[in-house]
Amino acid sequence: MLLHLGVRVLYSFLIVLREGFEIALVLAIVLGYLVRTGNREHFREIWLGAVVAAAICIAAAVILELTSASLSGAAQEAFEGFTMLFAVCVLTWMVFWMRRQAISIGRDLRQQVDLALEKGSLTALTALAFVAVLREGLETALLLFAGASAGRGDSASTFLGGALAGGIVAALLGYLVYRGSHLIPLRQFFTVTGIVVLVIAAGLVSTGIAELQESGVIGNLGSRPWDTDAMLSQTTTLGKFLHTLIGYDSAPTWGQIVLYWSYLLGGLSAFVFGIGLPGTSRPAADRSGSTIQARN
Amino acid sequence: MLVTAAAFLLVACSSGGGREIEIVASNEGCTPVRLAAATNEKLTFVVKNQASGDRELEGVEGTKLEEVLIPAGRTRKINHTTPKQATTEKLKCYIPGGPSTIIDLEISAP
Repeated sequence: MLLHLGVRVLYSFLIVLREGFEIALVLAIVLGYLVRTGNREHFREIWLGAVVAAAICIAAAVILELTSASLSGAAQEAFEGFTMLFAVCVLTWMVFWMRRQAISIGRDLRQQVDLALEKGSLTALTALAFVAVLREGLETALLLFAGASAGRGDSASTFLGGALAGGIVAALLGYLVYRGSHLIPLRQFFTVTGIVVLVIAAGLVSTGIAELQESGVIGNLGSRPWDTDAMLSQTTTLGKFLHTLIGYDSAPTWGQIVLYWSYLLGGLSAFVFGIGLPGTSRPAADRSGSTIQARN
Repeated sequence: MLVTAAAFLLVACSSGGGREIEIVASNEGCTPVRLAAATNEKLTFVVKNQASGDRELEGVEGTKLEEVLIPAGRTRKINHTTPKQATTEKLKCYIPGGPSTIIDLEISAP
């Protein structure tokens, strides 16, 4: 039972660490810049935006849970299936968006703060924090729900321990950035976690399709070419662990297999070779790493 | 590396099954519809799907048994430990998105 819980904890830890660090990074850069420019008194606007956005995200997570709990049988499976596929879209967009932003995130944020201060628009400062926290927070709620659904039978509240630990570590990393530490290898962090997130998302593609097949929304997408249940059953702790983390299915349909590998190979190729980045064809890791400006 | 290490740990710590109970899913439903076991007993449901389509088995009405898909023509072994108190557990054996059979698992003191 403890090990079973550990599966959920690891998943939620990784998700919240990644998403939480993005929030912490934005807040650290903005707060650090306010200190450097002698505008510490505007901390309140930043925290206000962050807190309001966090409250909205928690409400969204509760609504997702209540909606799922109010459904049963095929309707619940369909809801979970669609939510997982939606989560995949959000994850993919987030990974590639963050990679583009990472190139100049510090400079862009400082420009936005300068603009807000010049105009005397405190609302703009609040909005800056609000949008950053809202975007990442909604993604987190969605991903935790999708992961809980993939784990079958457990609610997102099971993830609380891992999510809390991930949040604390993310906050500590954000604090290090705020203090001007250069110990955090941002380039490696976003490259490695981006790859991990794409692998998790590929699993959600397979599991989401499986849910839709089981709900009857779509028919089985082809036959099941193999069955590894005798070697590794999905009902074992390891099977559940791999199912939750990377979408392991002991007897997937051809549709699941094709979509899983298409997404995984396509996504990783685009990420590693920097497709979608402006101006150059060099690999993403080379480019983003040399130009991240996260110093305060 | 972390995932691999965790996987080995999980394999090392996984527990085995218990007394085997066969459940057969066919196009007409699932049999048997009534089972018996002792309190706190380790069971392994051996679910044979002889129907033309996929079937699922899961616990309902508070029975802690996670949903398992049994593809057509396949067999799945599902471990389950009964509660410590005498009760009747409910298992739902069903066509995904379709009709179901409820199996009563009577739990009594040994």
